[in-house]
Amino acid sequence: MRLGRPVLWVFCGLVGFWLVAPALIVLPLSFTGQASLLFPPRSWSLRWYGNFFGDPAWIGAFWTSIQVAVLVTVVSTVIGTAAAVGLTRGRGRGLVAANALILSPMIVPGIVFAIGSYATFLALRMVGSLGGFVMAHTVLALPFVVIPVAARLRGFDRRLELASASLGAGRWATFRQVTLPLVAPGVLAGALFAFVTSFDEVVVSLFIQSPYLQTLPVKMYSSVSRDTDPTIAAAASMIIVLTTVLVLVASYVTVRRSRAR
Amino acid sequence: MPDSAPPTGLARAGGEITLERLTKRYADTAAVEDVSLTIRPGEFMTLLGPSGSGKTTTLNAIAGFVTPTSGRLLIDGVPVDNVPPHRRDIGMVFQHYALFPHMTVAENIAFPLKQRKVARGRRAELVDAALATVRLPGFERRYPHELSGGQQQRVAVARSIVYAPRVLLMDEPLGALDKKLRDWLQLEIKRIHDELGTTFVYVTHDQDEALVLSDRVAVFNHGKIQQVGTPGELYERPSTLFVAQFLGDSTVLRGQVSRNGSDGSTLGKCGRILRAPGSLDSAGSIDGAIVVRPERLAVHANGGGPEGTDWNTLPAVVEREIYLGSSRKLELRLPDGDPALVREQAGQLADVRPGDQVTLAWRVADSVLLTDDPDVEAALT
Repeated sequence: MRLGRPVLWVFCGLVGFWLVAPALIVLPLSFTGQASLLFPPRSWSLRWYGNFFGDPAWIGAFWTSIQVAVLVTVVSTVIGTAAAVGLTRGRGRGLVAANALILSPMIVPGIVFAIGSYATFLALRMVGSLGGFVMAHTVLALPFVVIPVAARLRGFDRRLELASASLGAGRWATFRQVTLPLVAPGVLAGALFAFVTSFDEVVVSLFIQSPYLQTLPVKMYSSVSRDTDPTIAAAASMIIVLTTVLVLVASYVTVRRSRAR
Repeated sequence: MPDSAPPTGLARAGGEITLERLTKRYADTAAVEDVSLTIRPGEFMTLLGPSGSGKTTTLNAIAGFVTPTSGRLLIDGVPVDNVPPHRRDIGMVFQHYALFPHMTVAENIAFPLKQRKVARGRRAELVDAALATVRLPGFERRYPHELSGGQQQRVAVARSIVYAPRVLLMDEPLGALDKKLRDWLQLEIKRIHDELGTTFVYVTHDQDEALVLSDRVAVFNHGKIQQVGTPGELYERPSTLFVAQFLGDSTVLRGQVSRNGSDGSTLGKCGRILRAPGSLDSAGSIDGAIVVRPERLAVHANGGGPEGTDWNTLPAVVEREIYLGSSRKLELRLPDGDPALVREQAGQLADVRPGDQVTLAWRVADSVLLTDDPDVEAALT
């Protein structure tokens, strides 16, 4: 065991490095002074950030992504929480099937889902529409909300709901004042996953985009295949920073809430 | 919210609860079967029985958590079968407290007031009054996890009385607490009942608790009510063998019972004829039992003992002596192998010790004659 511990530390360190390595490459790369993705950069500048914010196509894609992700977060958190309540509280034969159906976007290959969405939206004339993006991403995000919320609900003491009812609170009042606050960490985690799922989704978005409405990952993909300039590194860095900040805020809030108990 | 009854504002005339042939079936088993019971306004009624006897299901039916399969439930004469739990104006205290962990003590207690849209200022007054009633002033800002079990249960009681419900239901509220705390909280609950005037319905499997607390007790077994009565009635005049053995200690003398004259019966036991007042509802001789409470039995050393038609006597051997300070218990063995239990008060101890041959004696009037129930031992374990 003397030798075991240091070996374990080294191994974990390597795994950790492997996980963050792409970010460690992309972040410095976004500050390169050259017009290529050569690593390590030989000179430094902020021109690619300037390029990003100066180009309406990049800014537009960025705002589209934010809009879609926020809407997806709201819609999928509401629907997913309601679904989790139904799945954990309901009784009946349909429940197993409903559960499988809701979780299926995690299993069905993205490309299959993308082709299906494209064909459907084509028929409905929804290709390249905000509503189309929100609908498609909501389906993808739903399992990431249902799983943590359902887990919280299963660990929840149902007697608290009986107590609440005996004290004069109806179903909705009980849900809002007792159940929801106690499963809030699960809901928060679900909302965060939903945002991130939508914000960096690329496969489905590639199919349902139009030249007039594309999300940031789609714009990045077309940029990398067309002109390979380091603006893409600046865009990637901003995605990394945004998602990291979100996760940090969420865990800070969760820790503070549990300390208050 | 009635504004009568100063000083606390928590007192409220109790409601009357009527159960009419209440039945609850799960699949093919009946949890509660044909239970009829009237609980009087302001009464402390205990539903007593072993686990699975239907007492908790009955309580949950009153609360509205369980929908009866058949039968009716009335509160103050109004059927409440279709009234959801939150509209029944009932308070409930649970075995495991069920305090809301994300709220402070004050927020927990104010919760029912908030649902009733009581004004903020009045809420604070009532929370104070409730905390004073359960003797926990100054605990407003603590969270439930910072309190001991006994304190949590007192907060739960405060939360259930703060809105002055007409009925308070308690489901084994002291079941999770240790003995000393339980004894003390029992008296607290009794005091609170006396102060408020609310109808209390209390579920327990602890017979001592039932005797200490209750105005009346309903004894449950196998989903049915065996007997309803005051603690004294149940103890002195049990109507079934189950009640006799579930409530307190007793000596059960089984044998063939025959009617003897107009107002008495006899039972053959160990070659003797034992007498008891009353008769069993049947012609000829049937299986029955005479039940005697341990403090009604007396032992007499060799050859002694009373005689005459007022007394029953049996020979017995002392097996064990349990000295309890203020009293002494003697475990005896009858000639046919059956046990008997005697309790003597200090100062009146017979001069006998284990191994002695003695005469066991008791008044005919202290014999309770009951129909035999061969399943009763199984039901008690």
